[in-house]
Amino acid sequence: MEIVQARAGMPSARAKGRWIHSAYDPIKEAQAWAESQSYHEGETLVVFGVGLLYHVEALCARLTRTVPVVLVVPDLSVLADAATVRTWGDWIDRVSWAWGTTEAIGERIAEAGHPLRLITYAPAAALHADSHQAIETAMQRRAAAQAGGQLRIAVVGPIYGGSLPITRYAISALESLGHDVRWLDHSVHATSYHQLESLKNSQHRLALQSKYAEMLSRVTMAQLAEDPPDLVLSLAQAPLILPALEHLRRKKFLTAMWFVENYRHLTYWQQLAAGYDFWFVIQQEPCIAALKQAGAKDVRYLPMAADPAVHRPLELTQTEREEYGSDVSFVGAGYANRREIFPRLLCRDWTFKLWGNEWDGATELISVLQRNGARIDTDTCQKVFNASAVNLNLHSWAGTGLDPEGDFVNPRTFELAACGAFQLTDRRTLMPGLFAETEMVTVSSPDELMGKIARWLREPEQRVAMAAQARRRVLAEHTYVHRMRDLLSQIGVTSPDRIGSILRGARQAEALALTATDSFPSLAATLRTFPSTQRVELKQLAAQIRSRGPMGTLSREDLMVLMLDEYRSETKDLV
Amino acid sequence: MKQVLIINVTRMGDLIQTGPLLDRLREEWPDVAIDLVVDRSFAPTAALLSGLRQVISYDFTRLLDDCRTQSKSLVTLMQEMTDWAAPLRAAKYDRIVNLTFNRQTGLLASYIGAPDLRGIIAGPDGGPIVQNPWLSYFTDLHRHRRFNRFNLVDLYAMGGSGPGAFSPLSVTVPADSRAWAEGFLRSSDKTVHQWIAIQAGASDVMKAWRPEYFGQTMARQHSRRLTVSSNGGADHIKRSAHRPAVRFCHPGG
Repeated sequence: MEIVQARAGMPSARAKGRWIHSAYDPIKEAQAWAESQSYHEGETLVVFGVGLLYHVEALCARLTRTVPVVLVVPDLSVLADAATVRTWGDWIDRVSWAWGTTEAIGERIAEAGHPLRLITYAPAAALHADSHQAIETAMQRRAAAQAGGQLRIAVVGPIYGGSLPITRYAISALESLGHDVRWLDHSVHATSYHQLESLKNSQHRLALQSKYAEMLSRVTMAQLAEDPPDLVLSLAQAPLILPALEHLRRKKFLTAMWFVENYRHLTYWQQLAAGYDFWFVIQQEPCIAALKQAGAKDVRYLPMAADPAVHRPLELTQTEREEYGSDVSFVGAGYANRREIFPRLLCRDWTFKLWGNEWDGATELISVLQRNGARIDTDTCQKVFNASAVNLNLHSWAGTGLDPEGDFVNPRTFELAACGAFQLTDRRTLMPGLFAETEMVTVSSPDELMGKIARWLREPEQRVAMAAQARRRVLAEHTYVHRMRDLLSQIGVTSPDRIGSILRGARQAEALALTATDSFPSLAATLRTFPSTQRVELKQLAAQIRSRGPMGTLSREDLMVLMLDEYRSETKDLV
Repeated sequence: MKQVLIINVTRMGDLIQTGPLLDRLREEWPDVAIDLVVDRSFAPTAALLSGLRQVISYDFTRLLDDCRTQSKSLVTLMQEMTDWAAPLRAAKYDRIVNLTFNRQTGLLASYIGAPDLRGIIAGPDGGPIVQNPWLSYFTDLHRHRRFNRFNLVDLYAMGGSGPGAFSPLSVTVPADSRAWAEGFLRSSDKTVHQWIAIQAGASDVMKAWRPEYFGQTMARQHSRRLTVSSNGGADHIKRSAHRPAVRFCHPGG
């Protein structure tokens, strides 16, 4: 850091041409920052960003002395800068310091007590963004490992399209994690929606499709009103429009979107960015920055995955091997780059089968196109993956050759790996973070493709070994269960008093009874009539009280519970 | 000294119509101390009523959102609500008049407790029952509206107190609000001949003025200037209104 005197006379600092603290008055700026941070009683504050510690001092001044504050110090030399130019007050004794390796910092933070609230002083934290990311990830993993509470999650799926099966996988994963999931399934409206596509007048068609999506958005609101969840999780193409999302936020609903799309191709995120509380995307920068620029507050990388219950090795009969098998295969839609590359695979020493739809007009490929280009269902897809010696996995692109900006890794990559199927895929910038070179073969250009197919067809044992390694990797790190656990723990760490507390089990009967014992003894007694790990909210408690019938007597605490429950069940202001 | 608590949470118009009940209570008990529970958004309106010891407001909208989304644990919600209601319980009211006809406030009235509870309260099983024949009559008013001979003001006064002298509706406008209104009218366009004040909001969204009808009305009043007096329920209209001839003013300025 470069130490520079601020206009108000105290030292300020710059790094890499950017001000870490105000050039005018760092103290005033720090006070404003501290005031803007939220805090709930009982939480430990974990501060990212060191700088000259003006912000930490301001934070300590704002909070009572009993609030634990942990400062993450990824680089001790920064602290030395601060110590050189500033004089500490008493507040410094209140700060716990977490430094060293990521693991050591994680340990130190964990020792400070739960629940944790992470706060970031962005100008200083930006100097160690990678370290902070690693520490935050470690904390999320730790939180995920400790999670035992059951969330109520409403999953809003699309009307149709590629995100529809992913919705099913996500729901299955959330359920396997023990959460109470409700699928707001709009695929039942697909027939009506597609009917509108038969309208020849495009103006009418678009206007009606838009109105239809708006209507489904209202349907979603009505469904949410009937049984409000802890979290509304939308998958890409979910029919929730911005005004609906804004209304949900006003009514305190938490919303998240897993945008399992290429943000460069489908750009409707621009209209929705500000609507969701949390965005999860399959691309990193510049996707994350673009969403933030469009108004998204919290954007995180969450790659695709596989569902081992669906994507798995299969024992195929000889007939099935003959029907679905080939030396080389591809399953997918007829995007421009595939139409250009695949004809080169014809008339070779290998058999090639092409599966999937949207290949109209690809006359050169008719001889290898299976089932006349019909859409391939998931079961068939798994059989093809299992029966093929070399599965091609070329990511879609509207141009020729391979996508020069190819970054995200598609679902097929994970699904093939989970099947224990050998794959040859195009190089993606985000691939090294997900799979090693020993787990799958990549090509950087269409020209490489022929040579690599020929080579790997000659090495069946290595193919099997590599595919088995890829499958192990998916099972260990890349299932939808992993993704949903990450998603929830990230939301939980960001909202420790809400999702975080539920995940920690703080809403379970025994935990609630403990907190109620002193203030509400009869309430605590009622809570102890529930199984100790059952989550208890107003609804369950009120039902328990009402079950005593008209001959029971209601205590004042009972009356209060029933009153709060009446507020809980109010819906008319929601839709 | 007698103490009375009036619960009137959800409706701005009904709040204004509570005025004669206050006079009637003072006629019944000249030294009575009357407190009023209102939603926070109606506190400025409640302040226009004369003769109240205190207006006790609470953000019931936030409470509803917190309860519904379970954003706080039930123990936290209990603690917050109990803390808020503690002074009400400690006051030991002689009478509670619940003029908000819903289950929630019925349970609140019973929770606070008083020897004389009127309006909706909680029955033995927590279900709603109505105490006082005048307020029972009011509860069923929607069924026999065409035969009804009584005004809401009278029902409130009879139900909350009893027969007494006629008392017109009245509010006390604070000096600063009066000054604001006079300044507003003076500073405005001299060509305006007539002002129309409209309350665009409603306690129930189904009763609220729809934006399209509001727009049609504005179109018809195009040559005039409108000043719209609104409560929180008029947000949907504010968002859809762009005509410069319309001004939005909250009660009391």
